[in-house]
Amino acid sequence: MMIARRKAFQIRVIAVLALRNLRRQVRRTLLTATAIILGAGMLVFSNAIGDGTHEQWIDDGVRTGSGHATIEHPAFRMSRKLEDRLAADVRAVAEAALATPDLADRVTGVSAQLTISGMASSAAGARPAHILAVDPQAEVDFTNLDDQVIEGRYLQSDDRLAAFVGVGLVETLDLRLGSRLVLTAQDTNKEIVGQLVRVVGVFRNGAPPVDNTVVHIPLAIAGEWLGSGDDVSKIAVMVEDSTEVSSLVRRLRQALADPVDAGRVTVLGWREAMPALASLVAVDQFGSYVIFAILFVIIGFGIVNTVLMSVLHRHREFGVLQALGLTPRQTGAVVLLEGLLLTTVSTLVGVGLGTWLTWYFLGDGFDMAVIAGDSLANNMEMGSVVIDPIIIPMFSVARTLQTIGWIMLIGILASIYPALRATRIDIAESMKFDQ
Amino acid sequence: MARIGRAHRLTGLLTLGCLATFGTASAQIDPLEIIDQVEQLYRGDSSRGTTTMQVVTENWDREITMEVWSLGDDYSLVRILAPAREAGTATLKADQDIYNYLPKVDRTIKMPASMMGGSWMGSHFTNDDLVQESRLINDYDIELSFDGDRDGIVVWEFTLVPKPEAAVVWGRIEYRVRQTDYMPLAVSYYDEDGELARSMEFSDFANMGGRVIPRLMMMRPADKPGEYTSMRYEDLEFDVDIDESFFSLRALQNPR
Repeated sequence: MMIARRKAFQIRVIAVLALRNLRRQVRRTLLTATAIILGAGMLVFSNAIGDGTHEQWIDDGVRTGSGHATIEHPAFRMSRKLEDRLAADVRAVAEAALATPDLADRVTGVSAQLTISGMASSAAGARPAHILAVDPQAEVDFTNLDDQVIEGRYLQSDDRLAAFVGVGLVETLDLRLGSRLVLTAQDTNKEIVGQLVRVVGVFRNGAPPVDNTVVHIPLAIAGEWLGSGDDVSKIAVMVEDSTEVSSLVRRLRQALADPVDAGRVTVLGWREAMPALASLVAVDQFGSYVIFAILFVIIGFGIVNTVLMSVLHRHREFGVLQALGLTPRQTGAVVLLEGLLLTTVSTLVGVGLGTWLTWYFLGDGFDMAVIAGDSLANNMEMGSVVIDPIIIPMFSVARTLQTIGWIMLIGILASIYPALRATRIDIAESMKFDQ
Repeated sequence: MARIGRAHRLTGLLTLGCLATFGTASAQIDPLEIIDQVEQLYRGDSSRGTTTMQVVTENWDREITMEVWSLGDDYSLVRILAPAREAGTATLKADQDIYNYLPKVDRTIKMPASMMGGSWMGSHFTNDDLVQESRLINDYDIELSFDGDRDGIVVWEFTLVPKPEAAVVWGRIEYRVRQTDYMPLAVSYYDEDGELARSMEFSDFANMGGRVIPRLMMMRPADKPGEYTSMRYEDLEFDVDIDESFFSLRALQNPR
C-alpha cells in the first residue's frame, strides 16, 4: 500500500517536472512541436494522395479487366482458350457465394464474361480482336467503357446482334453505327466459325491496346455463336476499395474450396491478375517510403536536438534534482516523458490538421492535369490502363494509426539518447559553477 | 453457326476438284443451282499442281512458284519451290486449321484465330481466305440480274445479297458466269455502301489434267489501285494417289 502510493507520487512528480520543463521554454517547445506537426501533416497529406492515386489506378485497372478478384479456370490465364472456361456448377457455387448477405453488401459489381480471342472483319479488312461477351445489364455497373462512348450507346439487355467497339478498330475496319462486323473464332468443337454483329456504339478509352482490339458483345449471342451456352470464362468481382480484396479472395476461396482443390477453378486477387499494375503500385509506394524515411530522419533529428539541448542546458537543474533525491533513472524518465508528451500532442494535432486540410482543399479531387499540363488531361496510360487524372485523396483509419505510430516511435527513439545523457549527470560537477 | 464466305476462290483453286459436266442449260434457269454448279469447279477429289503467284503492291512485287496438293475440301498442302530464299516454306490446311512451316528456323506455327485476318504469304489473300470453304448458296439470296451479251460473250450475271444474319462481311456480290460452259468470269465484292471492295477475274481457260479450268485468276483490292495478286496454273493433274496421311505435320516439314 505504502509502496504503491509512493510509486504513484513519484510518477506524478516526474510528470509535473516534465510538463514544467516543456512550459518553461515555450519557444523551444513550440518550434519542435511545429516541426512534428508539419511532418505529421505532410505525411497524412502525401499518404492520402498516394493511396488515392493507387486506388484510382487499381480501380481503372480492375474495371478494364479482371476486377478486384477474378474467379476463373486455372489454365485460362495462360491459354486464353475457350475450352478453359468455368463449368456451370462451379459458376453456380461462385454466384451463390457472392449472393450471401455478408459478401453481397461489400461487392459493388460482378461481371461474368466470356473472353474470346478472335478476329473482327469487315469489307475493309480484318484485325485481331479481343472479344468480351458480357451481360449488358451487369456490365454497366462494372466497366468504365460505357462512360467513354463517343458515338452510339453501350449494349442493352435486349440487344442481340450488337457490338460495342473500340475507336481504333472502328477506324481500321472503316465501320460506322449499324455496320456489319463479322467476328471469327474457334467454337467449342474447335471449328472456326463466324458471327455477324452490328455496331451499336463506339468508345475511346485512350489505351491503344484497348481501343484497337476490344469488342463487347452480348453473352447470349456469344453462346449461340460458339456453342458455349451461358458459360463464362471468368467472373470478375469488384468491391468498394482495394483494401477489402484479401478478405474477399479468402472468402471466395473458402466457398469454392472443393473445385479449387480439384483444379477446376482459381480465385485471384487483382495483384495476381494484373501483375504489371501491382508492381507499378509497389514501385510508386516504395518511392513514397523513401521520402517518408527521409522525413522521419529530419523529424527525428529535430526532436533529438530540442530534447538534448534542453538536457545540456539544464545540467545544473538535474544535478540539483538528483541531489534532492531523484535517482538517475527517474531523471531519465523525466526527459523521456518530455519527449513523449511533446511528440504525442504534436502528432495528434498534426494528423488532425493534415487530414482536415487535405479533405478541405482536395476532397473533391485533385486534378493532376493542373501540374502535368494538357498532355495528361485526357490520356494518362500506365501498363495499358488509362488513368483518370483526377485523384481523390483516400483516408483510412489503419493508415492514420500507422502514421501516428511511426511518428511516436521516432519521438521515443529520439528521446532515448537525451534521456541516457540525463541519467549520467555527475552531480558534484554539475553544481560546481553558477551558471 | 454460319461460315464466312470471303474469297473462297483461292480455296477453290488450291483444292481444284472435279468439274461437273453439264447438259444444255434449261430454259428455266435457277440462279441457286447455277452458282452451286459453278462452285463445284473448285470442289472434289485429289489434285497436284504447280502455280505461280505474283503479288504486285505499291512498294514491291514478287513472284512465288508453289506446288499444291489437295484432297477434297478439307486438306491442302502448299510448298514454295522458288525463289530459293523461301523454298521449303509450306502451308498445311487440315480441316479448319492452318499451319505454317518455316524451314529456316525449323518451326511449325499454328495460325491462331486472331491471325487469320493476316495476309497469306504477302499476297492480297488472307489466311482466312484459305480456310473458309464457300457456301455462297447458304449465306446469300441469289437473283439473276442480267442475261445476255457482255463483250461478245453470252453471260449470266447474278446479284448475291447476304441473308439477314449470315456471317459475311460483304454488302453484295456480283457474279458473272459464262453461259456456254458455266465458267466463272468475274466476281466483285461490294461493301454495305455499295462501293467495290475487291474484285476477282478469271481468264485463260484451258484444258488441264483433262478438265477445263481458268488457268489465271486475278485478285484486285479496290482501295489500292494498281495492286493485285495473280495465280496461274503451270501444270495440274487430278486423281493423284494421296490420302489424308499425306496432309500431316510431318509431311509439312519433310518434303518427299
